[in-house]
Amino acid sequence: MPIRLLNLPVVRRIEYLDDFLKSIEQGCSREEIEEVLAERKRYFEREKILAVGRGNPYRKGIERTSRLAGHCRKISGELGLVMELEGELTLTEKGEQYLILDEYQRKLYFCELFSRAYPHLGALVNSLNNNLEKSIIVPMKNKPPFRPEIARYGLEIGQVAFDTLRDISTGIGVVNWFYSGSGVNRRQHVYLTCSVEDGKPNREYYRMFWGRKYIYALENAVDLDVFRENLWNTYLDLNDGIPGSPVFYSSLREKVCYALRIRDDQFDSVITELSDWDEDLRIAPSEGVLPRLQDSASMLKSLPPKTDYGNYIVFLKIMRRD
Amino acid sequence: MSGYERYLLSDNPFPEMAVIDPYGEDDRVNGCIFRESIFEKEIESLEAKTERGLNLVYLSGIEHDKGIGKSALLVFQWRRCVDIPNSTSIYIKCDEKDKPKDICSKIIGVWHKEEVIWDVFKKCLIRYAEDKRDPLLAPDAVRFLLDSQVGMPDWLPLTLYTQVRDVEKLAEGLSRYLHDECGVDSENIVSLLEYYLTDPADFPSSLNSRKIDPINVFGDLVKVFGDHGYERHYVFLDQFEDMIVGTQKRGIGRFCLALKKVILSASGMVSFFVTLHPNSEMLLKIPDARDLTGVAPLNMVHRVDVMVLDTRGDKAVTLAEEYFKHFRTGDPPYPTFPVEKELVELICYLERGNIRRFLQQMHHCLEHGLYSGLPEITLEYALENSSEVFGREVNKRVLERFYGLKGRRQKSSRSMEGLISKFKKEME
Repeated sequence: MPIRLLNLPVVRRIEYLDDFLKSIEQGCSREEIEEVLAERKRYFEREKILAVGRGNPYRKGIERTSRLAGHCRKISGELGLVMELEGELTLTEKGEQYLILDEYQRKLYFCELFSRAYPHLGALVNSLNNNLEKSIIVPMKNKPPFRPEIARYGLEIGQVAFDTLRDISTGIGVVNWFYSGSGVNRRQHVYLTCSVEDGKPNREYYRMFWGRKYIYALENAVDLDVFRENLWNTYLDLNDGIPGSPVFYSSLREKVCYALRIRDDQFDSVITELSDWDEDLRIAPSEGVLPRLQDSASMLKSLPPKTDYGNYIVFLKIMRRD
Repeated sequence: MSGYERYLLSDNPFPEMAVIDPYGEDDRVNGCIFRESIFEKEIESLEAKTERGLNLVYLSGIEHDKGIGKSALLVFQWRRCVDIPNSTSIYIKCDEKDKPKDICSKIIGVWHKEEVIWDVFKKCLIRYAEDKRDPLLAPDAVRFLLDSQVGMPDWLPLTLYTQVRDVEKLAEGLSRYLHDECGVDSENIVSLLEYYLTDPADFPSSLNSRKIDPINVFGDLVKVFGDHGYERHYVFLDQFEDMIVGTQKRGIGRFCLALKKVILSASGMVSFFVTLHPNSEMLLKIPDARDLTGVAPLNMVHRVDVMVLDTRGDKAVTLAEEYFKHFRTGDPPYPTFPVEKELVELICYLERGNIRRFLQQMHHCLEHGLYSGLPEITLEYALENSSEVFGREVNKRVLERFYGLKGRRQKSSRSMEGLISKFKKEME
């Protein structure tokens, strides 16, 4: 029997929740909160557009965020981060603690709170973990109908709720994803970026509540030589075996992350370090413009790192050292 | 007096604006200062491709910058090819609005200016007169006429030396002769011959005429040249990427088709060397560009990759030494005097190995030293006055990375987790 999962508040990025909580902390009015969220949305749009190197944003005038504010309010209430006091929202002790934490610790904390409030995260991680490939391949935009496809993975959930869950889980760092194909053949591939353990691990872990107990997730670690080899081979696959030929950063990242089952930010940090200097590879990041067919701004799930001159990396060129 | 004498230099050796101008007199930007060891591999590869006579060689760089690296390399190879006997070597800076026919016009323009066409024209006219045996065009008279000219004349006094009165008819006869001899289309060159028989200096303006297709003229000239002592041609197209990016995507197909026509029209006799950056290279990877990439694939046979300098700075020091040497007026205490070697390395690191930015930063650093009255510019001074010397603050994190890099000469035992946590730590 598939596990039935209800709709989630549509908050796809943890940053929205962070902004919402900070606004509450500062005693902002409803209108002010909406403006803060609108600014965050505009920021994402702007940065994505810059990252693909093209001109005008597709979506202009993002002003109305009352629905997003409502969803933030709902999720933060259910996570126990805010409470209503004399008709006014205020941070709980958990909420205050959440805001004190650094970005990474905040994700760990959010992961635990979210999995306690909603069964979705645990169900998704459990489903992925029980799958031989540790991945789920399902439609995008409900074409073909989503529910029968996801049911094959033991989950009963709608497209919108799943996409929200996927984004939240990606934000936490336990899954990663990419899409392939076009039209009705367009599919999203969601995969685990951590290993799941029942017992408490001896290094930093994500703790999730699932099935009346905690499960622990350890981020996948990859040997640097394995990373290099995979990077090099994937790079050559993408450009017909021609060293030095440019490839799109996002395409290379997508493939390497999937092969190694790691997160985008893990890839980004290693590439940033290796492009500084590496004994085996010469990695040259480059700015540029993505063609429209390659990536739309809306599909760019995580921004690439920036060059020293503040522009996003669009291409990578790699050569082997002698 | 430039003031740089105190540093045992005749002037600031580094360019303020490092944009290559091969015809300029300033050695800092005309490509004269060039340390081959910086591009040892690239030069080797370029040389092999030149000898092999490939139809098209791509010099592929990075970023949007008009990288002085690939331009300098291009200029270097252009100058080397100038010395190859029985050949021509041409450097052209492309404009974003240029189309293949404009490039052909520019090439023909250079051949005209450098009197290659004139040289071949003289040989053709003499041979024609000898073969034709026309009393109106006596070979001795033609030889005398041409020998009397010092270089290409603005106006050719044909009627003063020969009995020819109808120049148009002579041009037609000569073009038909060249058709029979070299296989050219006489229509393509008859106009050129008319100009060269009367007012050679005015010929370039005729290339703008709609009646003339510069691509056809280019192809036929190559054929004629081949039979008259110029068997190979090397054409170096700098900023070729601008042409590609300046072409709308839907126009790429037509652009590449025209370029293919240019290449095929001179097949086996002309080698083109063009610069590319990732954006333009990606545009050439689309199916519409197959006409070009079909005859000159973007593979390792046809490409030379020009990367940035190693950020550890070894090569940057070598390059800086070359610039200093060029302007040196006395014996310095150390080769990069007055800039401490470690500071040169740091500048290279801060500029991520980009040669253009490195040279400009070196210019600024020296200028600052001079105006501040410093006896030498040390790393210590630069770090204490980073905003003046580098134009920005250099924080501890960047320095640690730099020192870490310098210490990393051997195979290191880095781990991916270590790199990620280092990166995260630095981002905090």
